[in-house]
Amino acid sequence: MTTALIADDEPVMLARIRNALAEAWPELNVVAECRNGVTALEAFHAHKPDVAFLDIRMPGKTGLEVAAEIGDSAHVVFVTAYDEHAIAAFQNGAADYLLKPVEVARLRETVARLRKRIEQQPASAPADLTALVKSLLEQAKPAAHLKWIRASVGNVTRLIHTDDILFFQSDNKYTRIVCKGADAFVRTPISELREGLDPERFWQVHRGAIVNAHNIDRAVREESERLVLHFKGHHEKIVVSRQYYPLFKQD
Amino acid sequence: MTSPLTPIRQWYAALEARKLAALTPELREEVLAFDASMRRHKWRMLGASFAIWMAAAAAFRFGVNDTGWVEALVLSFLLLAATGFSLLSVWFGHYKFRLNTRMVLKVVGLSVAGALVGGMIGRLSRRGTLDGMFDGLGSVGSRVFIAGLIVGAIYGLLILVVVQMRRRLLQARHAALQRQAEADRTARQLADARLKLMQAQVEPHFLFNTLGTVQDLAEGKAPEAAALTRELITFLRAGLAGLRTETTTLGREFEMAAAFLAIMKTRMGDRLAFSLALPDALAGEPVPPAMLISLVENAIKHGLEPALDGGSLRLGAQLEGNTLCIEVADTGIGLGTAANVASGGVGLSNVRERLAAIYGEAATLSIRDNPPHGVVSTLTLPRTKAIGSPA
Repeated sequence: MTTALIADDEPVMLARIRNALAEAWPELNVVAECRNGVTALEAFHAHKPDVAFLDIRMPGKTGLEVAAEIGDSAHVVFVTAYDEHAIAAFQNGAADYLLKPVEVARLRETVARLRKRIEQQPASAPADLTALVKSLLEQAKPAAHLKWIRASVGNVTRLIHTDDILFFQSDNKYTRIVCKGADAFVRTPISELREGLDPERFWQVHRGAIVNAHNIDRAVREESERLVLHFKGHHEKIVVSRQYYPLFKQD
Repeated sequence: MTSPLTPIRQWYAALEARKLAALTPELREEVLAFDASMRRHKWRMLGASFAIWMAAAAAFRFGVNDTGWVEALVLSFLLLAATGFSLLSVWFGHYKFRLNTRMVLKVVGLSVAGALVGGMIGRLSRRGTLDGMFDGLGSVGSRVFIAGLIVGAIYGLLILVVVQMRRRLLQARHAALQRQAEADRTARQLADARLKLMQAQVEPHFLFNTLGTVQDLAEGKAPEAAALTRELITFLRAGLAGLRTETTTLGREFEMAAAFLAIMKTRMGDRLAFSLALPDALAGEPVPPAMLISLVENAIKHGLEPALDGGSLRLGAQLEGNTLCIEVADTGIGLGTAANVASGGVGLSNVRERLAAIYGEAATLSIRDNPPHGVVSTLTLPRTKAIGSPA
């Protein structure tokens, strides 16, 4: 008998898929119902079902991530209410998918296709969705630059918005983050932090200092020919090392 | 055939380009505008200059004893040209002038040197010798020296006055431009924030999932269907109202949050628990619209929805002196991963921008850990400030 796994984090939707399947494919044996991606994958390895109905947005692992691990060892049907990129890809026939709320009429077509593939002799192997899923996951990657930085202020952990930061200063193993009116520390070394920051806004001006260009008040050339940065509403100054002078050249 | 003037023209054009390139954009524009206006009115300018020259020459001829027409014409031309060019260079080169010892020495030194040289030439041409020029205190030499000092001082003062006038003018213009830019930016930020808010309101994933749930419940004739529809209507209506008004009350904001949370509770089931605590006295407090809901949406989207077992959410508000504190605490996955931090700020950045546009520095949004896991977002708003008038 054909076996299946259903995964959806919302109970109403999970029940709806279960009920619709009971109507459209009465012979199907649903061996597992899961509420998140992690248990879905565990259940998959435990039961080795023939078909997996996977909601795309789930906690733990998304449906796409679960599908990537399943590979070609089961027929995967994605279920989604709205996922622009994914639906666009699926519409080209790249994968089976169902729109939420699942309708029995539409489900019957999918079931017919699946049964044909599973019950014909010899059964055709499930399509390997790994490549498709990888490209979709790539598209869903979050923005490249850090907007919020997690740092400790005293013994509290805070999220600091990068707009509020005046400068980063290297401090042994830590990096000191100076904001208007507050200091914070992160364990990440300054060189590593720099990779996540927006280079348009955050300029390295010294081996151990990165400044937020938006919060510089003025750059002053002192008597000793040193170039020193002053910040808005803050008393500390940062010395610019010679190799970074071109950043502050007037033109 | 090239004219013999060509190399001179080329040299001048190159010099002009180099000098113009060295100016600040504002100054360059002014210089070019001045140049254009001189060209446009060249006949008028020439006529006016000529008239002034003649008037000055006549004044010399008849005002100073023993002056011939030729002397008067040459003298007044030199004086006018020197004054005119120095005023022009001060006007367009005001940034080069600093009142310091070096500048004072320069002006006094040059005018005294000029007066002495002039005095010597005069003495030589009349007497044929410099003998006796510097004899005694009342000699020609010391009189020339004093005259040089006085002229230098007058010129110095004139330059200073012009520089001051010019600086004040520029400062005023600068300040006006800055105020304009600031006002533009604030208006743009508010418009931008509203647009983002509207987009968040009709976020397709939320709408499709909620409507899907409504449909399923309605098909099954479940009693929750009507309740869920009502909550959705409340939520959408409050959101639309928020787009049109500058201010709402904390009570209405809590109602909107309650509707949203009820919808999410129906969808997430046992994965979500929530509580709202708004003291009655604070229900009428004026607040900017849709800030609370942004914090709540953020907590659900980035804290509780991604958590395997969900969690709970607590909304509260209290007065601390003259500050209104609104707190949204969740027990979700917290600020853990870098990916979460990078993407987690969409709604919050929006709130921050609007706070800055409305209250300036007086309002804050702070975010911290909620041990053992989760996030507490706290909004503090000054109570006295009238909402809607940008700081």
